[in-house]
Amino acid sequence: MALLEAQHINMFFGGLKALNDVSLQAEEGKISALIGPNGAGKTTLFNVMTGFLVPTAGKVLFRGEEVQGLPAYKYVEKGLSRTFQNIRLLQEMTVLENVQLGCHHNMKQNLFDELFISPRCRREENESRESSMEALEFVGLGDLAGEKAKNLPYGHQRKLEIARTLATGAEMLLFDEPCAGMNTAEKAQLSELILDINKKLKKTVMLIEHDMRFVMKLSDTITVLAQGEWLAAGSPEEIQANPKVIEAYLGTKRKAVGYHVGD
Amino acid sequence: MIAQQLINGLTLGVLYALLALGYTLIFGTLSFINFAHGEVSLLGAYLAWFAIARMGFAVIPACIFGIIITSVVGVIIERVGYKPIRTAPKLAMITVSVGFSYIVQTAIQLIFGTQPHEFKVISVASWNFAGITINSIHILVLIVSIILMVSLQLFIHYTKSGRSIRAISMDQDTAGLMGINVNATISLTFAIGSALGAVSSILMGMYYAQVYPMMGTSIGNKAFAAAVLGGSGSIPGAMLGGIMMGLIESIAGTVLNTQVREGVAFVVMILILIFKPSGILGKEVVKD
Repeated sequence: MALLEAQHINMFFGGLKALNDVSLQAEEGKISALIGPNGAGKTTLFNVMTGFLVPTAGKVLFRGEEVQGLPAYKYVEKGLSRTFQNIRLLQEMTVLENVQLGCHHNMKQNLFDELFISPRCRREENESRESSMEALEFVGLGDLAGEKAKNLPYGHQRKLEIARTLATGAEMLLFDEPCAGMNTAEKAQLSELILDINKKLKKTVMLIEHDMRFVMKLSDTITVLAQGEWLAAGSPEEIQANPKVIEAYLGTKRKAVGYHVGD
Repeated sequence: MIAQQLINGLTLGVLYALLALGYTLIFGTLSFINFAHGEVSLLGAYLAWFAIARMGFAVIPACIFGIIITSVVGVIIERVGYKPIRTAPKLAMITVSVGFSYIVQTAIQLIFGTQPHEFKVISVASWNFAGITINSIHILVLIVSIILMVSLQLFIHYTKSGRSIRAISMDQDTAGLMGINVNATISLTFAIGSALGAVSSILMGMYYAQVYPMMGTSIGNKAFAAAVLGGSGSIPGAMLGGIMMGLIESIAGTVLNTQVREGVAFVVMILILIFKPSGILGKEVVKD
């Protein structure tokens, strides 16, 4: 069954049609990818599906329930968490604190618990620290917990964002260009991590990525967007053989070096 | 003489600091100066006075009553006045806050009268040590203020709500996407800021043994200056700035004369800001 579904999404910014009647489905327990040339509307669709943007028209369904228009924090409560193309961490906070923020929506303590340091407050704080450390260790940042986020190298910051989505306990994770700016070795490591997240932690994953080798290796299904429109969807093999996809990429290949369909 | 002024200055200083914390907390989360904060805080002292003098409350319940109502008023003003224009240019919010400062001041005059009211609520004992007089209000103010400041630091750094406040003061959108309820956290910030302001005004009322309608403006302006002096948005900065303002004012009052005491405090503030515009503990941030 589709865990996350976008139905006939239109997203207009003034006269610009960033998304025009786009639909897609993310199957539970699978890794799906969203690809397309620059300006195809991938990140816009991510923003619509995670509550950052309210679509001009269309529906976003999570577990069959309409979620478009809810405030962003509600998406995390429902079980949807994401990372960002341009890394968004709270730079002045520690690595651990950044991850703990992801646990907040699970903490039931109120102001009085905090003012009087009630047993519940202490228990929840300890639990959030433990589950945050677990998430950090899962992505391999366990020994950097006390460091300020801004002091981490780029690749580690990306992993920290992933750890934060894990700590939310969300069942659906959306990664926006998780390996942008990484070298080949780091990419290989990251693809292992994402596979582990999917297989061991049983998370449903959707990702945007430009590196075709990475996408083809990881994804169960792929959706292709081009210029704000749905172009194709299918298995990696189907997508690689789809003439419309090849044309969309070849048509822009001269401008955007680095897309290798079926590479 | 100087030792006596240090005690007086420190007492006044921690009260400015408590009030300055409200300015800095709100500046930290919404990046604007809430000019209504002094007047809203003054409500705390008036409500406590009213509860004691007109409703027959005991001192502690009256103070709690004043603090809670002030806190609620602070949150309501945020919801009604600031939330709808949160994304508008900051000048709009600043102007609205100036509006609220007059509205609250007028309301205080309408409800409680324009005359000062005597605010002698605890019996004052005083002690002499080598020519220095310390009374029970000095001690009460110092103990309460220090407890509150330490608690606030612990709260901000080691609790879920504190972490949420820090997160939204760094990046509201990201905090929201991480599952933090931004509106609730902003309300909480106003509740805490207004409650601290109420405590400050109640203690200030006890210190001067009176409450009067212009008190909010006069101590509010100093506390605002203290927050900027310490570094806007910095909690330790507000504490330091407040204590410095109080000490400079008291010492200048003795060394020079009482007429110039308030002027001197502001001269020092201006000099410090000329050399360090972000304030003593403020971060050198260039906002885009």
